[in-house]
Amino acid sequence: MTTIKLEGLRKVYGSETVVDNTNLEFESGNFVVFLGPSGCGKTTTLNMIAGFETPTEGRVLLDGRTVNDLPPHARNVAMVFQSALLYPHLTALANIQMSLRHAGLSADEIKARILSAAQFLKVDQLLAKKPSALSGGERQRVALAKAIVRQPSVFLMDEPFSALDAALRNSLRAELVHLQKTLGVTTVFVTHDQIEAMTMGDVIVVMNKGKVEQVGSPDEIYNKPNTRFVAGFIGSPAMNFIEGVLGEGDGSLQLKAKNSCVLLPQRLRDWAGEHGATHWLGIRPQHMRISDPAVEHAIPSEVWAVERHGKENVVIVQTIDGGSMRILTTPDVNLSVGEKIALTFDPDRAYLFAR
Amino acid sequence: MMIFAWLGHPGPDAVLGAADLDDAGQRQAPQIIHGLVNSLIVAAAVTAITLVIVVPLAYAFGRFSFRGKTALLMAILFSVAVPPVSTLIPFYILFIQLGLTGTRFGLVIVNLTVTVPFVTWMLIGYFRNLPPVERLAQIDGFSRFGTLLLVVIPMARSGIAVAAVVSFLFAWNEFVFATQLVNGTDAATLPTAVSGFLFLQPQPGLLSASLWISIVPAALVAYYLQRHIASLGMVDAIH
Repeated sequence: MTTIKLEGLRKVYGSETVVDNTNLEFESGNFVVFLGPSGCGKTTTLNMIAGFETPTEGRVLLDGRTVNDLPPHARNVAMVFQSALLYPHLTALANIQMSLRHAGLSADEIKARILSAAQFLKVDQLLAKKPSALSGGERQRVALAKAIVRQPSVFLMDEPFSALDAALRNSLRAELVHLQKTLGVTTVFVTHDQIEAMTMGDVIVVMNKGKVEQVGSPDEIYNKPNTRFVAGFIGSPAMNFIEGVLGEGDGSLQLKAKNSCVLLPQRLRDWAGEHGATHWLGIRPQHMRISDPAVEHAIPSEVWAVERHGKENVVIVQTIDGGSMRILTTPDVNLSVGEKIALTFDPDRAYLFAR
Repeated sequence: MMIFAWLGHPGPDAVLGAADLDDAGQRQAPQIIHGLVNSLIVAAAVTAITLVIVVPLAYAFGRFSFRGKTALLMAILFSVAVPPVSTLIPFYILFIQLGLTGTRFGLVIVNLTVTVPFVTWMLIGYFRNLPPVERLAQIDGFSRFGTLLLVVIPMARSGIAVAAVVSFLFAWNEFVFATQLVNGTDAATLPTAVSGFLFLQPQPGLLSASLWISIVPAALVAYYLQRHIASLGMVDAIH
């Protein structure tokens, strides 16, 4: 049971700040997901927690103890690497055993621990095989067995599922959450896949360009995004945005885009910046409606493509402002490419972000 | 002209006949055994020293970034680009001054000037393509040196085997430097000793026999390490 605290953490390579002034604290037993596009600093942050990288500034604390100067193995962290990295020239057994080099256990204890870890992850039949003889999923399980066998205080995972196919990723996701909840080990998981983050994390840290954009539960991140970046990064299909200038008209707040104008609900006043400033209106695809072109303040658009997903359709349109938007509809909505439609949105579910 | 002399040589009976083992042949024959021993010592020493120097060198170049890396790599590349023969006379003069002519040690040094840069270039790419096991090794508590010794070298066995074959065969076959630096001395290697049957007094039978002798160790080394390479599979580097 270990808490993780990052205090004023900064990492600079040459003139480039990769991680900037990061202050975070995670409770013991949490499943923390660092989410962000590649190059956002999430892996560097993980590497600083692991001890592969020395922070330029700031401290990493595990259980309240500064570990900046400890080498990785002395931090008692276990790590699962991208595409389940294992020693290619060693058998699964030898790979798992490597984790216990410094544990100071007797041969019998080592054997017992490896066996129980292997059984837990259902790889006990694979111990004699080399990584090249294992499937992607099996390799992943061996890598997890190697991680749990040392009974670490923290699990660190660097996009461990990125090289696997979608079906396998789905099943391993559930397995990993189950494993983490069973063992109760504080876990930091790095990914660029927002679905992985949403489904697995207790806490999600969204990062962009070296900075933390938002920290929160999956619910908070999805329903109360603080920034346009977070709003656009979470959710599939992604949120639609209308760029425009804030103004007043018809007794209501208005957003004037290039060729259209939308009325904003009263509740968005709290979110609004100065009048005349550029803002983004964000609406998720499921909160957009296709309406009669006669409706006032509807956004005139043209159907660009229709994707059928079985339980729903995604209509991709080109608005009169030149932007592209996605609308989730029921599967019975029939639209053909080039058709002129108009769009409205659920005012209770719209977001406004000052630029 | 000598080649024509062989072609005009009487048939195999005469080649293998006792008459063939004239004085010159009898004087040269023991040199073959001596040359064989010298060649084995030189080639083994060159191989061993090359590997000891090159494995850490290529590993550092392949896996780490450090200041001046490109300049150093270029220096190594240029030293491979120089035709070895062009350094023959400078080496000869230098070795006379240092008293290294006619010694196996001198020959080993000359061979190393070719094998070290060449094999380094070969291995850099190999090391670069290994999976990033250093991180794994760090988590498992290996030191940097321990990582190289206990993780990277066992992983890179096949690449190192190729490097060994190349070094061994180069030193084994080296003729030009050996002719100038050790021919006619106690340190004469097999290629120079064999050449005696060609240049001093043509002895096709003995030449052929000694050539077979010179092929066998090289073939064995190449065959043994080749099997080793095949069984490991060079594609192991991916997983």
